[in-house]
Amino acid sequence: MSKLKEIVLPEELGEGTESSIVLWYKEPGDSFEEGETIVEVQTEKVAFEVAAPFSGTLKEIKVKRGESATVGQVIAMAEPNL
Amino acid sequence: METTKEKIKKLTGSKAMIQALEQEMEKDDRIFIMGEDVGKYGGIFGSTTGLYDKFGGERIMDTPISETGFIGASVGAAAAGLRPIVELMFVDFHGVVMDQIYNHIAKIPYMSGGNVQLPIVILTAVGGGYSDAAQHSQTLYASFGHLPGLKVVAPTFPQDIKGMLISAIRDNNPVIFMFHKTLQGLGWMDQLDASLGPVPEESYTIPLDKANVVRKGSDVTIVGVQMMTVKALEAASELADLGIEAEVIDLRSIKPIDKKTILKSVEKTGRLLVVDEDYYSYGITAEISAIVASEGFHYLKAPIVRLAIPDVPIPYSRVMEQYVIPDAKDIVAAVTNMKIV
Repeated sequence: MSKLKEIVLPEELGEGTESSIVLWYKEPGDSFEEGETIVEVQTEKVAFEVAAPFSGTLKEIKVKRGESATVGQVIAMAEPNL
Repeated sequence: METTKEKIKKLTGSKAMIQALEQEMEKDDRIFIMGEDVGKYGGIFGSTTGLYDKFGGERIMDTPISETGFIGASVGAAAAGLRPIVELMFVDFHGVVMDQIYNHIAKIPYMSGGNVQLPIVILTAVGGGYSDAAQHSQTLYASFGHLPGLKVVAPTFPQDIKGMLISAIRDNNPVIFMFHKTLQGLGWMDQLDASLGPVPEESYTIPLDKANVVRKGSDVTIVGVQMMTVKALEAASELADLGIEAEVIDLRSIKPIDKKTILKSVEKTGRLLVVDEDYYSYGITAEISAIVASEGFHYLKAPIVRLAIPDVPIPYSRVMEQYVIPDAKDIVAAVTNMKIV
């Protein structure tokens, strides 16, 4: 098993922006490709789809649907493909 | 949650709608969508998000703010062989377009002796509970259910939303498809567990005339639709703690109404509570009570109980709104008042 990598709420949302998690497209155990939408979030202004920063397998969701997170916060852990 | 086949993905109500629209539009190029902000914006309650980028402006058409105009245009388009889907942004706005809906859409198939079919789906957002005041919070289930010539459906859970929307699109009759704002699973509304559920990826249909027993019980039957089904399920688990087993029926279809499922349940339980997010007088609670009183009277061990919005405009004030919309605690109180022993 390779080392787990963090998935954070991306900077594109703007610094300090609080986002609510609307829908996780992936559950722990699901694999994903780089660029694929893994989660949809909602800021005060827009709905935003977060693209996977690398290809891998989702291991743990840190911020669940309905909860909120800020930019840079770790929202999930994933195992990158070798 | 593990299935023998592939794992079934969980989707929100709005994603289930989008998947239904997308799958049907891919198969049939006669289908197109018209409405206010349905294009790039994706529908204010997220019913068409992403479809504009996929199908373009000819098939996902933003219209001027004239329901009279674009819903009227759907009549001509349907008569000429297309299969229009139109979105009436809030059901509350129906007033300006009622002539198109009840004199044209509902009656032309009848008055033409069946020679002119109008396969139109009218999508419309219903419901309150989020302080949007009297002109943006109604459900008006009964107002449409009252009119001959229309099928009227109001599914609750994502799986039903997708299956019933596909059925509505394939139906050759006009269908009013009501989706509840709170059950769309949108980020800026309260996020309910009920607005997320397993939805099979493949295309499938669910009939437009069948209610669904969503919880089995033997002491009392509770009939609800959309948010009132959700509240009835909450109440049923509280009632179970009190030793009362409630059976909950999700009506799903306002018209035609599935009498059989309701009567069969009341035959078993002998007690009926109908709960509705529409107005009390002349509404769903009255209709279902009348059906059971005239066709299932001999099953009843207690008088039928009705909970609905009192005959007042829905207040903006959060506390006052919460007071008029039936809640789980109102359902629990109504059922315990039936004195089940």
